[in-house]
Amino acid sequence: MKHLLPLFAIFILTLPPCATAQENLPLKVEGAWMRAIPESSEETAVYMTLTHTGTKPLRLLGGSMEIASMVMPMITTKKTVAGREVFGMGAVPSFEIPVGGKLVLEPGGNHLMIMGLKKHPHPGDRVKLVLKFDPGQKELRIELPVSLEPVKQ
Amino acid sequence: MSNKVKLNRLFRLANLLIAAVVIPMVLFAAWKRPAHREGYFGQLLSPAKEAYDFKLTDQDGKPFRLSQLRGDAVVLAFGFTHCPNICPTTLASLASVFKALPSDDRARVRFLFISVDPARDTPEKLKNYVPFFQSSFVGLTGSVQEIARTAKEYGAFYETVPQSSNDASDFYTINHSSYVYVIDPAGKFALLYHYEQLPESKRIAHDIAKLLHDSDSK
Repeated sequence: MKHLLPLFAIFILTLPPCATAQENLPLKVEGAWMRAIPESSEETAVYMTLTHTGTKPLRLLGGSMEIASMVMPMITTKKTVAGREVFGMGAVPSFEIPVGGKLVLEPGGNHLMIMGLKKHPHPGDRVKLVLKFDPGQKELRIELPVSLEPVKQ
Repeated sequence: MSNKVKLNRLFRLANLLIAAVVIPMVLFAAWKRPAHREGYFGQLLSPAKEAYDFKLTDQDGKPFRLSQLRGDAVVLAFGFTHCPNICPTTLASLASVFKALPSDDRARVRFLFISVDPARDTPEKLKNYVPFFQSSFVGLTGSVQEIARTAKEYGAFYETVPQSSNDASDFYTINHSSYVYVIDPAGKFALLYHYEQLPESKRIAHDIAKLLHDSDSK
């Protein structure tokens, strides 16, 4: 049985994150994952690609997680200081998802920052996340894997 | 003389030209390019400058100097543990580089993560954070002045940015450059990687192994 565990882990990791409830949101969620971090840290990030298949603009406001105190949209800023590329981050009220377009949240780029982690899931675990959208404060519940490295689809 | 004969002569002349001029040119070009100058994926820093021999504190609370690692290649990044996006991405990429290194070389490549947030990143905090990504990675902290000097000497940049949405004084983020520096076994700056290059772990590992072997053969 023991030798089947890695296989099982691979199977779990490659499962597409699936939406369990949808409030008629014309969105496709792909490649969602949360970065595994050590127990001493309380901040991490969630990444995914959202494809808008509807006709009206949508904004991702952030969301909530049972195991964290805050889920915030964060942009990565880049500027040049004395010829050096300097990265920073900044909270934004929401991310725009253009009609017929994609919102890409990826390592090193824009992301959902998870703050105040109360539990530290291990790589291979799955966590629940509620995404919130405007207009209408609509919710989308998803489940996503926890991983040290980007999860490839 | 028929046209056919003329054409044949022209062909022979062309062949002769190729044999006499083009082939030696190609051979000369191939010979002129020394093997050790090509094939680095990272930015080659030449002329190699001595890397600043910092005096910091490691994750076990012990004094730590760069010169302790003479004879090994050093891979060095700056960051802070409250960083949710850029720093874990850098450390996870470096863990992939470590895994992509030939197993014989792994013990001779030291990975260091220097905190630019000494107020919050104690040795204990770093010990819980840095080796999480790869057990042999070492986190370093130190005095505000020495970290500032080290960053300056390496060409790294950072600045603290208060977060206005919260009153707590320790609620701030840090803007920072995210280059990865490679120092050769003689303690000199050798290679620089831009953040965008870091996902190419195999090419970086190849560079580092090459750097070790090139310096062994000197």
